Amino acid sequence: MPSDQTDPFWERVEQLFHESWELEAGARPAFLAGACGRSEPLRRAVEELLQASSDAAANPLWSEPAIRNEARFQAASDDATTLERYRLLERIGAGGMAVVYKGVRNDDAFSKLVAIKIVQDSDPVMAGRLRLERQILAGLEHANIARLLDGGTTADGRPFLVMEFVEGLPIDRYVTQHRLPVREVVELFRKVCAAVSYAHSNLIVHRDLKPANILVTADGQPKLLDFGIAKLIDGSSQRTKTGAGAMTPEYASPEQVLGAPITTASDIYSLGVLLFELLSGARLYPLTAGPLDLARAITIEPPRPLSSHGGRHFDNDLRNIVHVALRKEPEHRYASADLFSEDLRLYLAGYPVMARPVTPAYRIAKFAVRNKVAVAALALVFLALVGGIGATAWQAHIANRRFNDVRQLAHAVIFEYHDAIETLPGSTPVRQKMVKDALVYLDKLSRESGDTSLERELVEAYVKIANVQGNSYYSNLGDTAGALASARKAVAAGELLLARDSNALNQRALSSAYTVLADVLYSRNELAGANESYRKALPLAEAAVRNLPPDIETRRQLAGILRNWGDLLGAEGISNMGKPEEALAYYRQSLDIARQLVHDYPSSGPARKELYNSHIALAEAETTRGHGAAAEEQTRAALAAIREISAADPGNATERVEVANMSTRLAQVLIGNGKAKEAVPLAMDAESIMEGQVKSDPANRMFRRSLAVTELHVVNALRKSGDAAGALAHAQKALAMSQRLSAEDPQNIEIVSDVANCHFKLAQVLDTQNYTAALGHAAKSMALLDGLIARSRDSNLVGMRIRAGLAAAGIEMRMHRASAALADYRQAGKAAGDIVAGGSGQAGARTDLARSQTGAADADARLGRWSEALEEYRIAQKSWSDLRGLHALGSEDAGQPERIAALMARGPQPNRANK
Amino acid sequence: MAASDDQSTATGNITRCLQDWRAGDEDALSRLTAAVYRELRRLASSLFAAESGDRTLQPTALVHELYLQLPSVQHMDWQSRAQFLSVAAKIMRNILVDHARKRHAAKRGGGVLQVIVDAQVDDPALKSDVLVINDALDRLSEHYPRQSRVVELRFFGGLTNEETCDVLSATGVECSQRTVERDWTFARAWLQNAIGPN
Repeated sequence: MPSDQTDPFWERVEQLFHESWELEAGARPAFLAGACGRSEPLRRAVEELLQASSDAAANPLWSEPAIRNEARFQAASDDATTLERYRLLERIGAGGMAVVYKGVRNDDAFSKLVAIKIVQDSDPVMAGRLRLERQILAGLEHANIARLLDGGTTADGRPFLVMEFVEGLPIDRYVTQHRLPVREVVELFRKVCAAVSYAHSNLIVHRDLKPANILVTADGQPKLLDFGIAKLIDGSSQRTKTGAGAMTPEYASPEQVLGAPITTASDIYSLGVLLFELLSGARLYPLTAGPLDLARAITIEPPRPLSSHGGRHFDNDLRNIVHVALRKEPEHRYASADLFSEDLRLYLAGYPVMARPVTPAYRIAKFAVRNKVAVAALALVFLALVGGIGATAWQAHIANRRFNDVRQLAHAVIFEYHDAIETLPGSTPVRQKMVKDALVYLDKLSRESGDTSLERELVEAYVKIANVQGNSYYSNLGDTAGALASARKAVAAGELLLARDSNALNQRALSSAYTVLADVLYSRNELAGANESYRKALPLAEAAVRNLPPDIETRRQLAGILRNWGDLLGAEGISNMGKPEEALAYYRQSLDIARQLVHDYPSSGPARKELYNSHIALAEAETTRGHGAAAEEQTRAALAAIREISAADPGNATERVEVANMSTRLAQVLIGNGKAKEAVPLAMDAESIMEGQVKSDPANRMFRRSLAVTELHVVNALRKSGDAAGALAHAQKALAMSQRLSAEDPQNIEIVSDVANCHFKLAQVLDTQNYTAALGHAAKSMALLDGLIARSRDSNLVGMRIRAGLAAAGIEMRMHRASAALADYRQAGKAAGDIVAGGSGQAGARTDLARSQTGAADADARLGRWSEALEEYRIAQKSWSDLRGLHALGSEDAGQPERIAALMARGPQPNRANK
Repeated sequence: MAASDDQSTATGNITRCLQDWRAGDEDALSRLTAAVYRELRRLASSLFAAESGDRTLQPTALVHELYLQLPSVQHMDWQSRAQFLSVAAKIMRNILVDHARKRHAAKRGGGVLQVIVDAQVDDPALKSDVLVINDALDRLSEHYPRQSRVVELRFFGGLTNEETCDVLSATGVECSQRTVERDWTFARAWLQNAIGPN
């Protein structure tokens, strides 16, 4: 924190400065004279500052960030500098991180011109890489490649390269200026291919072939510049450029756009674009194309055909040749620049060429379909990387188009990229910007249109936007207020629409508007409002299903409403309206629809997902109601569903992990139903899936945690099925993993609770084999949990602590330490009683309570305090029968009520040796 | 993977370092500083390359460029954001001062002649070298530490008034956007005075 100014003089100077500055200039002298009195230094100091303040206001230096100033100095000093053996003459250009000068060697009698490229970064790592590249590039000797002559470092550490100075025109201008006929264009181009081929055979890829990098001299020789160094010097072509740093994505290959490795095939693609443009005299992609359009055009859309232009006529063979080079998939292009050149030679000589036309099937492009979402997602990334320039160009582009096109674009943005937005990790300024731009569009469209089908699209568009903004059922931007606004717009527009024409499509649109409104209200915990909205959405969705020809989307929508409404009505674990029976009814309906959907569309992924989700909802509902058999059935079905989904999509890691999750869920349910043996292979399955995940990404802590937690499920299953040794081994493994994770991230409460859980499991496993060790682990678990609960009274942690206490107490009983056990039972009982009394009558807490009460009674009995024991047995008996009444008596505890009755009947026993 | 790797690992690094630092890992601060330094240097290099007499560029604040690339930072609480911006602004100042020193050293270095191109001497902006401003700023901080900090954040770091205010608040200094504006007016005058008449 900055220290206080203690010198009163300076404080006064500042104060007077501000007071004077606010006055009119003319009034200042008088004011100062009065305020400063006889203090001459004070008055002079303030006056100086006032004068300087005027100067400063007029000085452009202060109105820009400091870096601009430094940049100018840098530029000025370079223009005037010699570096080592060379003298700079004039700046001829800049690109990326480097500036290019014309220069001469100092000692060169003939003053041979060179081009000197200085990289504006003195990072030694970059300089090292450049030095290595230089050695390789210096070996390139070809008539059509500008020689790399020399290199070095400036006195302030910036690397520079010295190249043969080439005087010539960029190849596209050369071709237009000289009005070259087709044959000569091709011949010129073949020389370029020869140069590229030579470099490729030296394992050098250019990476940035474009007309600006290919100069043609006066005697018609093309010279390629910047071989292989484009990436290093100009930054990769996908780096963000500040200011006006040029980016030439028009020549980028599809794999470059997608961020895949760049190979010689990428150069072939760029050559294809070049040839296209040289022949047709026009650019392949319009200059005004925004980065999004460009990315789509490059990666998905087939290039426009090479058509006759300005007196040039192209026959099919030439066209085919160009398009082979332009193929999206690298392996479908010419395998080498030589082959490219050879096909052109065949064409010129009138022989049949190798190139074959692109078929319609190819045009649909496996590439495109397979990668559509990825392409869309990466196109968004591309957009982000192009940054400020891109976005403004896009907006300008938009503004210039006519109404229909505007609509098309909005459609494209919202519908096609909605899916891409869903899969992008996290929220980014790009997505927010897109949403914002899209909303501007929609508002504009909604004012201008009179067209009902457009209005319906509007409703649907607002729905999608709302989903992106803040629907927690989708990955979203967290802007629930914005989402609410959009959802309401959707509903308003939908109501108007339906009022004008109550056809089924409009019903469906309004239904989805009400659904998103309900979803968003639910996210904001406005349960009553959400309930009303679902109530409105449902009949509309049902009507749509009845009245429209059957399709997946409409029916999915209906199933989704039923499920989400069911969650609202009665899902445990999230806020709900406390009507679990109704929830169950809705879940069942949703399942019926999902089943029908899968039956009708067996190969549809989304249909299967719907089925999966429905089974999960039911499984959870049945589990919380303690219906073991029903829960088992539903969980099995859910597991089967996700297994099918994962099998159909083997590359998808998320789905694989879901399989692991469901497997452990089923294992838990089976254990609860007394079928531990069946649970073991399921838990092991989950374990091996998670091990695979960890192997694929060892640094990923989430995976490692999940693996540790999965191990505990294995432990449970093994223990309950009688394999104590196996259980012990896995429990120790889990503990070691969790401890390692905790050491790496000591502040993370959840991981500490994982460790506590591991100790708890070890206590359970070692119980009956090694009491002391078991007790030690139980104590550790309790200590860790106490520490965590002190920081945060999370109900899960409290529950864990209760169970740890019960475990410890049980062990102590078996060690004949009844007093200690009693204390632990009482403590657990109190905590469990608090939870039950608090109203969350969960079966878990009630079971804990009953066990505590029973245990305390047993302990008292052991200690010879029969009357206390009897009383406690009565209380425990009541708790057990309550559980039975709720159908929540687990199989483990099935015999408790009878046992207690027998004990009570038997009466007190002689005192054993107890402490 | 070629092209976009460098970018994503750099920003990923910064994000991780920030999270570690927030979580209490003191070493993470030096890693964060190093990562931010690298990235800002790279961005600065592009700017130095593009600067050219005949092209007018948008005034860019590189700290903002970097900030835009770090969505995780944008979603942190205002104090963590302020800490990041504060570190970044300081680093930006260091980078510039460093750069200017090297530039001067290059001129005075062995065997290299300096030829001043007379035409440019009249440009008032060229009279105000970063090193000169930096020295003046150090002197300003002796009596006016808060104002000097504002200069560092606004002038070197390119932060807005609001961000400057956030940074100051995060260190316990009371301020408002109006104070920041006043401080800047004052400091600017002081510095202008210190670097000499035009």
